[in-house]
Amino acid sequence: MLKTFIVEDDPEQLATLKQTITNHIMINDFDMELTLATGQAQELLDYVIDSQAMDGLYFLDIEYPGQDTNGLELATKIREHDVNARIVFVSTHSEMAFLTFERRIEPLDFIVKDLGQATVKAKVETDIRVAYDRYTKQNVTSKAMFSYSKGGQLFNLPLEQVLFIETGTSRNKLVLHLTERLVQYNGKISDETVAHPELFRVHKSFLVNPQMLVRVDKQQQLGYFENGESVDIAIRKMHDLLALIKQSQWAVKLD
Amino acid sequence: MLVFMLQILINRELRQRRVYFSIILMALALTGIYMLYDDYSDIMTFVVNLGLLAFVRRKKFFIVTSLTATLAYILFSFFGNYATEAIFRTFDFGLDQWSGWLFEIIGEIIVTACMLAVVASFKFLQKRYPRQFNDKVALNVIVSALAVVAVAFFAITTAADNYNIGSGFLGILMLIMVAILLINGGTFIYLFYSYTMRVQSHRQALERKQYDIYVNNLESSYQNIRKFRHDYQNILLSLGEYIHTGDDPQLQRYFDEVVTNSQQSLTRDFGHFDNLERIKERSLKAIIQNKFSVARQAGIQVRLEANEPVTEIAIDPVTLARVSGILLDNAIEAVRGQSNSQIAVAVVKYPKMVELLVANSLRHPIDRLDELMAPGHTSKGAGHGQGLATVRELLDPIDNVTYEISARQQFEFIISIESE
Repeated sequence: MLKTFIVEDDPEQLATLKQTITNHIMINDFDMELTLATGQAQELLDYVIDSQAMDGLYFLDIEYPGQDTNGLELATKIREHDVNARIVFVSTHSEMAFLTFERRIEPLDFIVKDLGQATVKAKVETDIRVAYDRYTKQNVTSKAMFSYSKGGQLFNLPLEQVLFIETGTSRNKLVLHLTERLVQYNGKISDETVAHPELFRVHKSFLVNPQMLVRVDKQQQLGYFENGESVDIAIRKMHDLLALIKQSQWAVKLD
Repeated sequence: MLVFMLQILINRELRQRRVYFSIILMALALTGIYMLYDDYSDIMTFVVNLGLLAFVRRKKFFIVTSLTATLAYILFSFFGNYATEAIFRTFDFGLDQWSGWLFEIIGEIIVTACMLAVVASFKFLQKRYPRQFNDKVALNVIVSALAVVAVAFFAITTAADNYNIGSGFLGILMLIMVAILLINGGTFIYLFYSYTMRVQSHRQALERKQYDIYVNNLESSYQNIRKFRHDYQNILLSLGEYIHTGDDPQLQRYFDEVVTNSQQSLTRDFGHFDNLERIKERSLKAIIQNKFSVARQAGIQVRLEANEPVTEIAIDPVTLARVSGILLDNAIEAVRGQSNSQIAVAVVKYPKMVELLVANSLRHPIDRLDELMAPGHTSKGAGHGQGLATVRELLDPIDNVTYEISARQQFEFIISIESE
């Protein structure tokens, strides 16, 4: 059962949102329910804190005039208690802080109210389908996650985005190469090798996610990734790496 | 004669025919008088020289120049004699009949050269500091200083003549006077400059203060607009809910028409003052303000996100300003020419960290982010890379600062600054 929540301080808009969601669940006969629809952010927060392991779908407004919490704080607290929460922000364009929310909350979607009722309705319905789809799939294969921390903040991402970790140019700095992202963070490669057993240390300065390798050049001792990036592979490690690839039956081209 | 020549060279106003004529008259008269009676010739020359005042409009300036000229002439003719004597002594010339003439000629040449040098330096000073030469106060001060010097000098020479003081002693007196003059001049210049500097810095501080007041006013009125826009939008939205649940198709149609029109003007980018009041860090604020106005002039949509007031950022403000300047320049350069170009900056606050995000829309996806940061790499197409190496150089050595680059739907550069 995928639980759905709404916090919207305007009663009219809350009613419309409620109706759209219940209707869509009913029509598609999803294994979902609209658990809570409220104008008070605190009410949802109390509910989230009391219950455990939820994986809910949340439709949140951003500004709640006259209340202690705003949408960003509410979403942050929801994330703390419900790590896999799928959060959708429904608000006017001027209230949206796309970059900030993307960075801090990683929401499922932003729905801009100004675009008109028809568009909002369509987007809400799409988001319900996407969330439901992910919810059902997630139960089959629990996705491996990778995390790094900065300034006491933990950033999570799917392991399938990680290519490799490289020692940086400065002391104690590492560069995490993701499929579409480079992340520099403070750490030691030896500590990371211990902390992430799913990664493979191919070189004194490279810690690789071996699943993401597409080609290994045994002559040049290089490992290639899909986007063309490459890592050095130490001679001592080559044998172990090849054995691991063979054992796990990954589709890596060898030459 | 030389004094007059000097006058004409320095003071452009004197280049008239009647001036030349009267000078010749004066010179002839003076020479006549000197042939009869040679005492106090300097004073006489100066007084007669002042007769030229009739021809000029900038009286004070003229007094300055004539005093300078007279004093310079007296000084140089005095020291010129010594100089020529010294030259003769080094070359071992005897002072017989014809070499007396030679002595006079060389002496005059040296004096003339010195006077020309005075003209040149005067002109140079005038060109270099035109403001001081037009400033009434400064001119007054210079006039009085020179007048004092002139009076003192004339007094000394007169006294020396009357009491039969030897030329050696007079030389020493002159030297002392020159020293005093120089010291006076130096002190005056120092005082004058420190005064102007103080006035200038005071004016700058005043301007800065007024600018701050202006920006604060702008920000607060912008906040008011924002609040109004927000309320208005919400009223429209809930009104819309009522109308659409009701049963009046004509009203619905009319309402939709009105709303589409007003929504357009409401969602339009209002200005680059959105959220700016939350950024209290001055250098960052100034950079964002500046670059955003550049971007807006280029027709680029800008957006600033700051959810909480940002006061202290644990990084050297100069580094922060340089880095954010480069990143914003890059972003502007990258989106220039795109049809729907957008730039966004977010300052995100965490309990123990502040992150600065700079994002811009992308025309083409970027495949190799790692190559962007390599020194010397510039990708004209995406416009990034130029300067990114500099950013890296600036940020890499700082322990509490790390960065991220991402190119999913848009290009993003994130600087994470952990509080120490």
